[in-house]
Amino acid sequence: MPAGAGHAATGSHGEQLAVEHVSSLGMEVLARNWRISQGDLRGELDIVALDHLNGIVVFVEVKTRRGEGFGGPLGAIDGRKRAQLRRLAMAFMGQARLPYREVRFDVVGVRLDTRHLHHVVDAL
Amino acid sequence: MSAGNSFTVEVSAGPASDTSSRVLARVGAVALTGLAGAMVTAEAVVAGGLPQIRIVGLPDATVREAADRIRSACQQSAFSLPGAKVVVNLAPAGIRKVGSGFDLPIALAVLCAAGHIPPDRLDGIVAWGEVGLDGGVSPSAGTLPVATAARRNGAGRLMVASQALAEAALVAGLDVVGVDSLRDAVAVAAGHRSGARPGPVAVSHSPHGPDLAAVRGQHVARRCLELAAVGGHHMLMVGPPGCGKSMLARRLPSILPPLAHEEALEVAAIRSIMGERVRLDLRPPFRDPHHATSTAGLIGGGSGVARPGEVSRAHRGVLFLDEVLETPRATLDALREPLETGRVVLVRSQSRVTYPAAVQLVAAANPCPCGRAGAAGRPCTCRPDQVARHRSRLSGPLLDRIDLHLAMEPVSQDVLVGPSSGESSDVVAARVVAARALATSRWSEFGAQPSGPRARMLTRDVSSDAVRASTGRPAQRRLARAIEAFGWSARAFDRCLRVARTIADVDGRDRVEPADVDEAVAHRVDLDGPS
Amino acid sequence: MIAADPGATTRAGGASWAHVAAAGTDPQALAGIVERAAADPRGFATDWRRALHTDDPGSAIRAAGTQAVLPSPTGQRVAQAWSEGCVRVALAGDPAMPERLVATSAQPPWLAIRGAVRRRDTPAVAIVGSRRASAYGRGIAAWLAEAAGAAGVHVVSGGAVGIDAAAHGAALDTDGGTTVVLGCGHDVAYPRPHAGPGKLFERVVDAGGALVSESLPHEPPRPWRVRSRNRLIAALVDVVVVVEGGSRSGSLVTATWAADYGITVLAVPGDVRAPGSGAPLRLLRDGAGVCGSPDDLLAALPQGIDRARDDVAGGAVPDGPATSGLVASSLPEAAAAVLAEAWPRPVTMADLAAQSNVAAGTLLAAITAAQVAGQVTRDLDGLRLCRDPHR
Repeated sequence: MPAGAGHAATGSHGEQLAVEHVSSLGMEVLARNWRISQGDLRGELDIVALDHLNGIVVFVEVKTRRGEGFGGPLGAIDGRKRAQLRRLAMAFMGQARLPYREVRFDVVGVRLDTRHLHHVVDAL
Repeated sequence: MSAGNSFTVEVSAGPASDTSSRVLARVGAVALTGLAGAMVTAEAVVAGGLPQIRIVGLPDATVREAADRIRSACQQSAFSLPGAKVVVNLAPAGIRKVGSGFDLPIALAVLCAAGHIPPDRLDGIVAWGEVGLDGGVSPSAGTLPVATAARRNGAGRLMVASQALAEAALVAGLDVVGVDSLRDAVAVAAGHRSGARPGPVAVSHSPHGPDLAAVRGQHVARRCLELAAVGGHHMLMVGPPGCGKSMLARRLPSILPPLAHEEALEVAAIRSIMGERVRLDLRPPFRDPHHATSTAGLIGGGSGVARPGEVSRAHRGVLFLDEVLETPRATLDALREPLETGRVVLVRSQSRVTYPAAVQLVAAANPCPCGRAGAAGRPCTCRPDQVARHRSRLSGPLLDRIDLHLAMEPVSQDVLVGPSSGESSDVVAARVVAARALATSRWSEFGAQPSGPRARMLTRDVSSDAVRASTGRPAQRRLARAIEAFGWSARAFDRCLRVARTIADVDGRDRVEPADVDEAVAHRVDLDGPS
Repeated sequence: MIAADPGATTRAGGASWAHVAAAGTDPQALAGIVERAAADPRGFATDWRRALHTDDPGSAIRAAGTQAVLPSPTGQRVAQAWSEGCVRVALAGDPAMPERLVATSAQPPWLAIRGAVRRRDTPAVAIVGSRRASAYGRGIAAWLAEAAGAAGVHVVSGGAVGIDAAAHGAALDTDGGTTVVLGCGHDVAYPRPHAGPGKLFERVVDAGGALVSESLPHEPPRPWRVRSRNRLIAALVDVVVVVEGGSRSGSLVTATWAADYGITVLAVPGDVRAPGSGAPLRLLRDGAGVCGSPDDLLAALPQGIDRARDDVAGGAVPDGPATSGLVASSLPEAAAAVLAEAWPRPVTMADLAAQSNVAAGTLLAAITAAQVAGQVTRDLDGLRLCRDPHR
């Protein structure tokens, strides 16, 4: 399998696990891989879900890795990425008609080698 | 895909989580230097970095180790810890923090920072206790002085291990609660449980041990002991081995008045920091260290934190030094400060610790190196110069502070086998209480300021001026004449006058009669030989 | 031999030597002799031994002395020390040298005297014993000394601690008085307990007694000086009593000399197991007389003295049971009776309290009053009446 294909396969495997996990927590998954490309704003949100229990819109960023490299899954989100995530989230909120105003950003890190899924709530 | 079933899942709060993990968690604690407690705040906050608990603020090794204890305890108690570093600061950062008692406040702060306790529930709480790897909370030394400091600084509530509850409850006016484990502590803090409450405070007056009635004959010795008890006078007994010096000394506590409540608390506080069982006992303590005890063992010290010595463990009671001449001179010299000021100050490079040491000294010595001088029927085998040298050691900066001398001899056979005519301790103790009350009220009226902050209104301690003012001129003249006749030094005047004052007090009199002076003189032995 | 310029001697140290010389002693001769002795002790000792063989040792030693050296700082110091100590020095053959000594070979070349020596015809006894004395021994010594003194007999001893001190202490206030023969110079504080201000030696001089020494003021006690002193003691008295001493006690030396001089020797029997009975036992075996009471002592005197009658109370003292009230009026009757009964043995404070049934506080106060009044003495052995209650 070519490297690029393996990468994509890794990513989608991890995302699938993340979606299953988020659902298992009782949240309603609204969107997967939501993309936007408007002028400067360009990017993708991995998972958007609704936490009905607390009345929050949850944006979940998923990072999948096979190893410890680059600080693990959670080390992958730097300041620039965070700012972009917020802009994307605002854009989503503007387009979709959602029952809640409060937002939350979670990160799910998946280690395929150790078979470990780490969900950090309110990570940003 | 069911691969998710084989995955381990972990959920934790991120650094940007809800406000409780951003806020500074604060829990009160106390840093002890000797018996003095300074208020400390254990602050905890989740910071960035690898998951660990880092403790700052001059912790000693034991406090630093708390991180490991607490982590394990939290795991055992199923409390999740943040996936990032938790920094705990013990403020103010300039005071040294010593001991396992910091475990509980640090654990509470960490758990609050981790979101397991709402921060406002920890307002006004001071905690003290050791946390075990299993999550259990056990008592830590010094609970009583910690409680005292907490009360003095207006703490709302003190949380300690359940087993330390009785000790903490000795401090009146403090809300105290006991917990057995971390889960317990968190539940109590959050208000879900009420925690253990202290029962009624038990005050004991332990039985006085050996009774004076067992001493046969020895009327002069009994009289001397009674005077010592009333005025708090230090006492020196000189006599051959086997004449009953030790027997008599052990009976002094049985005729001393019971301790006042505050004094009993002082004694309990010292036991507390020694890590011993603490109860409120009104019986004055009695300590008789071996003459080979080191100076540090006698007055306090040791490496690390200076611990109290025998003289502090005898605080408000009796320190009996048998074979006092076998004690090295340097050690005896070290006793001068506590005898003079009623406290011991131990200075270190990092700290200065003060322990109370208001003791009544009873010292015993042989009359000569072979011990037999004066023992009827058995000749002394010492050379005259040996005897002279031995006797000269009986004076000196420490022993000159002693008001009462007692030359003891073995009691003759017929007295030993006859019926015991001696009064029991209870009878003598009642007289002592009455005489002591008379003296104390007089010194209060005088506004007599005894030397040293912890000294009581004892005739032994009050100023020379006060003693002179309370005895008439005729008595003082008579004393001066006697001292001149015997060729004693001027130092003896002050000592004898105090004893004369006590003799009058024992008789219930305000006026010191000439006969009182004569008796006081007789209680001083010319230690240089035949007069 | 450089003849000293007589003028120089007198001028340079003249003032001090004149103060120091006893009445009838030539200061110049004294200076010469002392300078010689200080400068050349061995040579001087040889000269003295030779002088003793002549008919007039005093003149012989003067002759040796005037072949003297120049006045020296040592000599000046000696004169100074004696002068400051109020010591008068008599040379052999001078009127101030005790007559008893003149006749014997015990006469020293000079005698340094502080105080006043007794006249020749005063009867005198030596009460001697070891420094390591028991309470029994000290009590007996005091008993004998006090009785002798009361009878006008002069008590001589060596000024040591123990038996000597007990004897001096008891005799110094009596008619007979006491003389201390030192085994060292006057300027040496030996024995320490006796030599300070207010101590025994000063009290002896104050009471009219004497301290005598044949040594230079700075010379310390040495065994041979002490033996020489014992010989001096024997020569000064009519009877020697050995109260207590070990089997090698110096008191045996005194007794031996006494025997040589034809002087009666008595010994006091003690507890035969005690080390302190060694000397008396040996003397008794060798034929010394027994001294069991002051009567024995006085009977041994050639002058035939009787026990004195004492009218301390202003009235006749009856014979018979102890008159405790008179000798210890400051004590309660019961306590005084106990002490009198035991006399001269000491009674411990505890036993006195138990036997007299007096309350401890009252008894202690009375003891102090009795001590101040000189009726009772107290030491770590116990209490004892100062005066014999049986007189």
